[in-house]
Amino acid sequence: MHWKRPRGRAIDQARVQPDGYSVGFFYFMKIIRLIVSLFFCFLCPNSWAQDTAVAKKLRIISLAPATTEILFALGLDQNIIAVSQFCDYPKAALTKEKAGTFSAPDIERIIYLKPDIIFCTGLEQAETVHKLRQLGLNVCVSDPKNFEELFSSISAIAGYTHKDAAAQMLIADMKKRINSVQARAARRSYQRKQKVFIEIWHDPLITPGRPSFLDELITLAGGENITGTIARPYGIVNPEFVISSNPDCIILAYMQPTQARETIRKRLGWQKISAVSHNRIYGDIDPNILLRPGPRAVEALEDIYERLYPDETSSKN
Amino acid sequence: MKHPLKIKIAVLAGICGVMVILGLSIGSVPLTWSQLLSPEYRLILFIRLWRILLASVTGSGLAVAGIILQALFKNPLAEPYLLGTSSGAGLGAVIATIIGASSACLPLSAFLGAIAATLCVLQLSRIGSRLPVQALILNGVIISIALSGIIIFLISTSPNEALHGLMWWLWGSLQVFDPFLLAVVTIIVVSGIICAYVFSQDLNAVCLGEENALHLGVNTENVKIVLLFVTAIMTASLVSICGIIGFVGLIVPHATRFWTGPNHRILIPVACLTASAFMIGCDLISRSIATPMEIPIGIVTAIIGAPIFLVVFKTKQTGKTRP
Repeated sequence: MHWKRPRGRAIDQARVQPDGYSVGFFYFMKIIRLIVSLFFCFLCPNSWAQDTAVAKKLRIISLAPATTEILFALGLDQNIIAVSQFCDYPKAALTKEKAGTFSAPDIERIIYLKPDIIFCTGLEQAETVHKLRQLGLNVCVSDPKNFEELFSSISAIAGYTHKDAAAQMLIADMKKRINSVQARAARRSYQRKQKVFIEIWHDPLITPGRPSFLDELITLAGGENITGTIARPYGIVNPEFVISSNPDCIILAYMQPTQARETIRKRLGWQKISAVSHNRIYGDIDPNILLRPGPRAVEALEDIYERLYPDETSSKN
Repeated sequence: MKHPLKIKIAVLAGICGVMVILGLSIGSVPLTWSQLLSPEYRLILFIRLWRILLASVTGSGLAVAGIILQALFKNPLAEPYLLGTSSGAGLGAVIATIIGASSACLPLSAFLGAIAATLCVLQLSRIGSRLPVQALILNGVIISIALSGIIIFLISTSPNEALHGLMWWLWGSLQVFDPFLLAVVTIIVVSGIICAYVFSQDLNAVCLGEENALHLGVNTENVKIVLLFVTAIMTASLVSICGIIGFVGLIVPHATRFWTGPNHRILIPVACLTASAFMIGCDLISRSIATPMEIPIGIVTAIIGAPIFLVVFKTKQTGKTRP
């Protein structure tokens, strides 16, 4: 069983070593070496499983919507055997078997499906990841906070699934689209930067801070996140701060459909905000695109750019 | 007595056996028995077995802890979490999460928090070498409320997002994937139950009143300290592995007492049997009623248990009035 450590053998070998080092030192080195090798075993959990994985079809379970999108984008449709209940993109994901919800996966079914590798995300799934690893399952965690981390986690996922070429193409395509948006934004450097407020929830008022993916999207699209000074990914913000910052544009990223767009106008003091008076409250971007750090993040970037600078797109049409 | 005790115990053991078989055969994946016993799906068999073992250990431990506290405090509302164990465990887990400890440290920190809270209650209530019951109850309630307040304060002010998942953990679940932790908790709880059984005659004496117990030659203060310590360790280890599960520790002792009478020598083992059957059944419901999701077991014990025991009490009452 996996929790038995081969410690006894190391001790026996240490005893028969010829003199030179003291026995104690040798012993110590042996244990250090053992710990280091064990550590590397944990670092690359499927390096030893790769030969078999190539031979037979790799069986993948994805428990996070974003990793599901990455896996599909890498062309692993045939290999995905189950996804979480929240994985709804692309359409093919809906036909896959369901392995429980995002935070409470169906462990028994996961074992039953005999996956070679399970893809999870961080934070809320930390407990799940811990449980799955205790059962000796091969779990890969990807929790990107910006495009750079997203690219490296795409490469990592491709490494596990032997799709390096597809990943390079995907990343190159994403980078091209990001560069194009950046170039268009740079041409507008003569203008004042658009101040943006993103509302994820209204009660309490939750907004993304600097370490969030959304903050990077706004910045790349040539905008300025008014709550970019908050040092955590998501924070509760005082409505007075929003009013005094006077954002040019408000983007709603609600995970559940709400009437927020109508109620914002009725909020006390919000009528004076430039975004409200100029009718620039946007709730039409698919929140799943905005909030999932997956291949569609570039779509989110383009959508945000179009909302920030609507004059360009309207003149093009 | 209408039925001899042995028949009652046999019936309970039979129910318990049926529950175990049902628990093994029902799960989110439909498997036949031959499949389940084949080496291919051995891990699933083990997971179901671990759950059943944990359900049984949790039920028995909480029921025995409830019996001890109800006897010592001579208070029908006494329950295992009375001495601040639950909120102490919660605070321990919350602090560990804020510090940034990994999920593997949660059980240990919850255990330490629970023990610390209980020791705090015991120390506050102590007058010299005596432990007055009234002070214990009041201090337990005060410490519980204060610590719950601190938990909510920390959760609402801390930037740590992992804390939201923690609330779910505290609500209680019998999911267990660490056989080592399960083994440790089982050993602790089983030795606690054995210890309680050894003291069962003293508990019988204490039930007559502390003065009468003294006249019968029982050192009540010693009995109290030893048994409170046993309860604290048992409850703390259970909270650390499966969160807070209400109702079992309060009602199973009463129901068993109605069945078998107040003699602790019989009450303690029979309560273990009753609580095991009850918990395995509740766990079965909690994981099969809304598959693949699980309902927190504490909610199931309350919803399923309340009507069953209301019926038990009512029949007992009407039985008493009709001679």
